Amino acid sequence: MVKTRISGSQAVVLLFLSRMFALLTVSGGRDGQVGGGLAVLAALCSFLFQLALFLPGWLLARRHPGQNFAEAVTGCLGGAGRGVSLLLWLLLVLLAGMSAAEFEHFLVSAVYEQAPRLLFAFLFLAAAIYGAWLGLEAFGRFAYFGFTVFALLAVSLCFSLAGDFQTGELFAQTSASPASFLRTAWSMAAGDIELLCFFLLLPSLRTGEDKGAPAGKGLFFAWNGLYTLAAAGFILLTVGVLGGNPSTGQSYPFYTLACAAEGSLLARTDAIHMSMWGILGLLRCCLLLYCASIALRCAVTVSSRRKSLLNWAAGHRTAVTAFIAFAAALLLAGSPAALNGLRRIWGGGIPILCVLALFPAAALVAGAVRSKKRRKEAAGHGEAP
Amino acid sequence: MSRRKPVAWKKCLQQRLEQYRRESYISPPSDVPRQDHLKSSLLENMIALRQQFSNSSDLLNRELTVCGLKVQLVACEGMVSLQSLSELLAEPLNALEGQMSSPQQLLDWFRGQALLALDQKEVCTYSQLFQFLMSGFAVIMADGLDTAVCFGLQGFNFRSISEPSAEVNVRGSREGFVEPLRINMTMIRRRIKSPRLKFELMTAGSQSRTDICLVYMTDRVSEDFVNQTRLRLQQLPMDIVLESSYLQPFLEKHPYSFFSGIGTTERPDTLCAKVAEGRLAILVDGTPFALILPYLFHENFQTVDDYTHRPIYAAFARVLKYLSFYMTILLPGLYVAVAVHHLELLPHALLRRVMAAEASTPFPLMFEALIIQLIYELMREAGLRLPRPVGHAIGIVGALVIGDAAVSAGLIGSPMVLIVALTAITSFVVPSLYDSVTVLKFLFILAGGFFGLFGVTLGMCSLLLNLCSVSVGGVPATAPATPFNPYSLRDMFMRSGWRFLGKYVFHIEDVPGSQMGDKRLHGQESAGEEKMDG
Repeated sequence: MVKTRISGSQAVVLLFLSRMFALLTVSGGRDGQVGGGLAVLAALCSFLFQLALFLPGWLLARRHPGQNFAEAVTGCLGGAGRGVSLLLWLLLVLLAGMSAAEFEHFLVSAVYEQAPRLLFAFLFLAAAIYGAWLGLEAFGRFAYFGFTVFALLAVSLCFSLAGDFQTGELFAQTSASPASFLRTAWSMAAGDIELLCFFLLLPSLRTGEDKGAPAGKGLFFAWNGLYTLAAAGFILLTVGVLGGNPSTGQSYPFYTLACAAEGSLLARTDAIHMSMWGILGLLRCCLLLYCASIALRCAVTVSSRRKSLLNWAAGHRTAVTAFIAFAAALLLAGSPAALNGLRRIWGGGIPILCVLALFPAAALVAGAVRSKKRRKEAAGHGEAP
Repeated sequence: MSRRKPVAWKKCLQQRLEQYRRESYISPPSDVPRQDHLKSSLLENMIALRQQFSNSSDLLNRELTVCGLKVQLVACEGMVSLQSLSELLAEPLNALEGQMSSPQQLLDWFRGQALLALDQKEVCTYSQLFQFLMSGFAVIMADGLDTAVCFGLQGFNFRSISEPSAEVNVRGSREGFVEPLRINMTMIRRRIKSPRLKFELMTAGSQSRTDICLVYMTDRVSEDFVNQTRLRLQQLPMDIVLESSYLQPFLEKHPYSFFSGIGTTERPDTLCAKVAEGRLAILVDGTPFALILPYLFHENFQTVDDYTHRPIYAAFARVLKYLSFYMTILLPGLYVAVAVHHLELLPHALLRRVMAAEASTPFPLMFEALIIQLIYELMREAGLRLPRPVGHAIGIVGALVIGDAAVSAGLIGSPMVLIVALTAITSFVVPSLYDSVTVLKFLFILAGGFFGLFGVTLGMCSLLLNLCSVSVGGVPATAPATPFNPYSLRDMFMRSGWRFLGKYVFHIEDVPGSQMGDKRLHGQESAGEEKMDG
């Protein structure tokens, strides 16, 4: 059987686009964050936070080559590790549902104001589930198409807005407290669920580890570097064209930016921007759902002897994941207050800190203790004869 | 290096020749029931043959006496060349005078001393006998022999070689495949005069026993891929195989996809080019359409003329084809989506005209688009199946009467007629994708009508995901666009000049993302040869 694998460049493009969706979904109402040129600097600084979040998981991946994050945690923590995998699955499914609900929220509030709310979330997630069902190779290849569309539209947006760019807006806010600057940078790094996806996909990537390269370090720098530059560029454009603080002043600042742009052939480009957003969202949901099914596979294993709910769930991973994601998306789409609450919790960074720092650290410690114990036992056996 | 003795060489050569001679005798499979074996009594054999053939009128037999031995000449009517039969078989048999005292001597004469036909086989079961009889062989059975000798004297009528109807070209060869398999094999052999080109005959269909032929170059094709395909063909759960498309779903990973990872061609030159790139071709007896696998999606946009024209024009033609493909599937859907949900996208001058045209029509735009596309497809289908003169009349009725009258009566807006006409033209630019785009354009009209650009985007994403999942033999159909390889782009969106293309030998297993094994058949054969020589 040929193992499902995608190339490193496909993974970079996939993770980059998925991350870009989170950037485009930034909406107003975030108080205490810096604006103007400082927001651009904060975007660049957020890379350091991402690096800090990357390190524990990477150390775990180095200690357990050939295993994904959930397998490594389960291997080190045993039963508790299974619980962690189940938690990861729940988080990924919830985030997939949340992404669908956020996109639906945007569509209903900005584009199709009289459309039924739940229908869009349902269709969007159905397409994402289809993509996840086709597998990593299919949506990994699709990511290239998405990247081409994204790059073309981003370049055309830059060109059409170049005339409206005001350099003075960048220097409108030149001073801010270090705390608010760091908070802004942290909030930009806090939503990086793609790091978890990366560690879950790591055994399925052709990273060049056969040639002695460390597991995926280069990929991290490629995708996060690309994202940081793109995010800084988008914020620069938003601040320069719209002015003020993009995260507090505008609801959907990037959509507003697209509304301001005028194409030579078309009167407005906002609908095209919405299409691009849809492509990115679909890719993100495919990625999250696929990774969720990986986490679920590690959490529950199929046993032909026992008949239990967990056993059944393990056998129907994709169906169970799809069902929960549908439920989450429909619930969140129907309740904007719940969506906002979740957005705040997720944006605060505590969940990602737990997932990417606490769990791998615990797994590393448990693994070290276990190997020390084994060494002692081996030494004891060696002395006995 | 030690030099081999010439005697050893001769011995080896003799052994090989003996082996090839023995191969002309087809031994019965071990699991054949006893009653399927031929008997030594000629009468019993003839009765059994007639019974199993349901006394069909096309089975001809003639009893002869050759040197005092009773012999039956059996053939299927219309399948054997009478001239060849009389010159190659009847005359030499009549010329035999009292030299044969036993049936075994007659068999030895057939085997070693007479050259009655180049294609000569010996069979000993009824099922093998039927297979050869129905493939146009003349069969001789002698009393006292439990073996029948089959002579390839086919002489049935078939369509002569002509220009392929679906792949017309401006410059280059005008030859297209025809229905008989052997003729098609010769057309390929004439183009690739390499001993590495291999034809592997087998049958498909438990009832039709259709001859099919795998064509590949042993030094270029992946051994695993050939084995895998051969196995799939051997396990084909079909009674009747009449066309190459019958085999296609069994060779694909996602048979329900809109697109296929298997291509078809009517042109021997196209097939030879693909086989030389390490692909596998399948010829089926009775159809001029050969299968090529694996087949990349972008190859649907390539034609023979691309390689005979100058690169600049070839690149232009390619861009036109890609544009046509996307226009066919997206244009009606996009028009409906923008005119129904996103009017703000249109510039004011265009918006006014569209609104003025659509305001006078009674139907919703989506319904109008669906109806007019449906009428067009109906007319096309009717024109296709009818005799040519009547077909033209259908076209005139469609264009003048329905189109003009519907617009004049205010039932359909003229922009919609323009869109449909444009889509109809563009759909014929890439004929190999016609069936897919016809269905897709209806789906995109529905998506655009109900959900606007969101629906079209979601539909396009799902379609691309579907396309990205297509692969045959581990080769992704979307390569080299995705997984991307700039090196492979020299013959995708544009066509580089021959000076550049000729420098590199393209192998299908080299495309990015390919998981085709790189173990070649020829490598193994030469290893075998060395072993035998040693």
